[in-house]
Amino acid sequence: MKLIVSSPPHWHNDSNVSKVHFFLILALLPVAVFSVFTYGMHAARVISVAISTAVISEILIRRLFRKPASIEDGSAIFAGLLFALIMPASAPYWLIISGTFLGILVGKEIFGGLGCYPFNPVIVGWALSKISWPNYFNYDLASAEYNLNFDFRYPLYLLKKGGVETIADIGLVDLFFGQQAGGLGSGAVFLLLLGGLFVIYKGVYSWETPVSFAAGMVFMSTIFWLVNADMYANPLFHLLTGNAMIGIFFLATDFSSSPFTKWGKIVFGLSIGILTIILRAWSNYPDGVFFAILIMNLFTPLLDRINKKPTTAKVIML
Amino acid sequence: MNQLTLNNTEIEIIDFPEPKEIILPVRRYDGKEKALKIKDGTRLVTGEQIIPGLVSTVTGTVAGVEGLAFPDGDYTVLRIEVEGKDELSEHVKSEPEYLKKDPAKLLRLLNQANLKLSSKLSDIKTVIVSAVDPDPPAVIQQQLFRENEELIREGLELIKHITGAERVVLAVSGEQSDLAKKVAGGIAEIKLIKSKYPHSLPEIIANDIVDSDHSDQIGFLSIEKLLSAVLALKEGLPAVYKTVSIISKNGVVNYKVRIGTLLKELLKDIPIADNAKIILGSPLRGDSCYTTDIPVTGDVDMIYVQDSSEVYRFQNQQCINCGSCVEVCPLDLPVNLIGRYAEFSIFDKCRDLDIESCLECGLCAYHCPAGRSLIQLIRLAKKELTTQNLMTAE
Repeated sequence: MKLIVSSPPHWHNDSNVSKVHFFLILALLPVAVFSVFTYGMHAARVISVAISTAVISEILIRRLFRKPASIEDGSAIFAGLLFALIMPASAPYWLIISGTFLGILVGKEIFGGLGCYPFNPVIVGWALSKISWPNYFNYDLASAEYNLNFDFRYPLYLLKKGGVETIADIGLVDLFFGQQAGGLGSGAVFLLLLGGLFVIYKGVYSWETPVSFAAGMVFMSTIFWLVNADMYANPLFHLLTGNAMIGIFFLATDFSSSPFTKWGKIVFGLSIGILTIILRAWSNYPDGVFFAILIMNLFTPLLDRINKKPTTAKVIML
Repeated sequence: MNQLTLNNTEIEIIDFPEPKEIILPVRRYDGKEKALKIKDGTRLVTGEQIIPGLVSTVTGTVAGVEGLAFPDGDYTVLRIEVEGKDELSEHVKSEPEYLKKDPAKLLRLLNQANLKLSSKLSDIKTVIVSAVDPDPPAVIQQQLFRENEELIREGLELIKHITGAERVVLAVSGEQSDLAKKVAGGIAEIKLIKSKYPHSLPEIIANDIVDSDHSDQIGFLSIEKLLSAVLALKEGLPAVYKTVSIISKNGVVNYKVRIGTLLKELLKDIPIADNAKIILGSPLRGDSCYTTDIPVTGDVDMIYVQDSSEVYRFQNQQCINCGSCVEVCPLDLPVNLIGRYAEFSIFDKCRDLDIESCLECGLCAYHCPAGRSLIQLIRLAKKELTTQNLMTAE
């Protein structure tokens, strides 16, 4: 009789890394389909180029680093898809390829791959491209060449340039159902919300970061709004536009670059929310979600120290 | 049903036939040969003290002193061949009027009856008596609680008398709260336990009961031990039996077995294929055995036979920092960091992150999507810290 010996536990809940990313990709799939309906084959082009670049560059980089390939864990596919969904539909091939490649190389693999990087690689790729080639990131004008069945103006851009009067005619319900210009998937608010709730239900990540992120945004924008409603937009407008929803559910919650303690997550989310609104109000960029997340990624190790000392009663087994 | 939900089904306890031979662990083998002054062929009777702290659980003759590797280390063991007829040692005495006697004397009597009670009873202010099995899927404590209302009531009085504790708390599952009220009324408080692991673990129950300062010492004992104590005093029966849940493909069976019965005897009706796992204890905290020539000791609650198809294989994958382990840890330890530090032999960092207080409940590794063998890493770090004298031994 040959017996197997190992350390406990001898049970497992059957989760694995591939499953985790499968759920995340599944949650984003409706958003991707929606973007194809909205922007047509342009969206399909961006998504497929981003995903294939992410997968190929991960294979090549890991081979270069002499590490086993890790495509089956799904993280590269997820990163590629997420990157595509925050790009404008007009993004040229070279921009998508270089952005995804930089994200995977500088954002992820240089630090040792999944679980080791300090910044969200998708945002790293986006930020590098955005700062290097800002003209190609014009979400607003980029949509002009497409035949959309809604206003092609990018709401946050209008707010930045024209003030509150210019957005007065934009209905919040339209925004909620994705009738807005922006990144491919960033505008599909209701689908992102559903997808986010799905992954929370599946236990991929916990509720703290998304809820506190949203709460931070509402809190800060309410203050601005109460101080001067003629200059600053209302909290719901902020929550429904730009990259708020995709940031709340899919970017801020990234495993490696966000805290793992409960209170760390709450402080992390609140800070991102508050920073986002401050950047939207006072920075040169219309949207501040990505930069807010990048800044707070920097504080993740510090926030992880917010943890109470474990207390255990002294138990004597009689 | 979730694996972590505590089992609450009613499963009858069956008397297991007397074994032909038993093995009793004498002491942990620490590398030095120490002669045990007992000759082969010496006759022992049930309840007889062999050396201080070791009581024979059968009537029979000594068949040898040997070394045996248990899952938790090497032991010197005593092999005893069992005679057909049971004979009780005259040293085990009953004391029916126990509530009127001196606690110190009762403690001595109980330890003569193989109860192995801790001697530090005087500092204890709170005693928890648990009618909940600490690990699923065993159903021993709850079953014993169902079957022995009267004796348990007497036991609660006895334990209050012996320890002089201010509080006696009876921990029960929600389903048994009515019965608990009947049993504990006027003697003990009742604490309802969520019927999900790890709420059933002694340390977690204790944490829920006492205040945050945790200065008091808390005594903990199971219903089974409480019953043995009452029976020892009331009827002069030494504690030579252990109730064990045997869990296999055939379902759950509860046996009342002699302490020292070999696993191969207990598992002889269960087909065990190659590459199966035999777990001494629960699938969450128990140790897997390399052989079935190991005896049941006083602290084995269950034996779990896992088919090779159910065996989970840990991966040597890197941590993805998802935080599942921290989320499920009953003490909110940063298990992801502890695991990584242990993996790369940075043990002093593990100590800084309070690895000492880890209960090894196994939930982190149970939930880890990367399939990391976290308990193994934690044990490695604890062991290293203890050997380097950086941490006080438990």
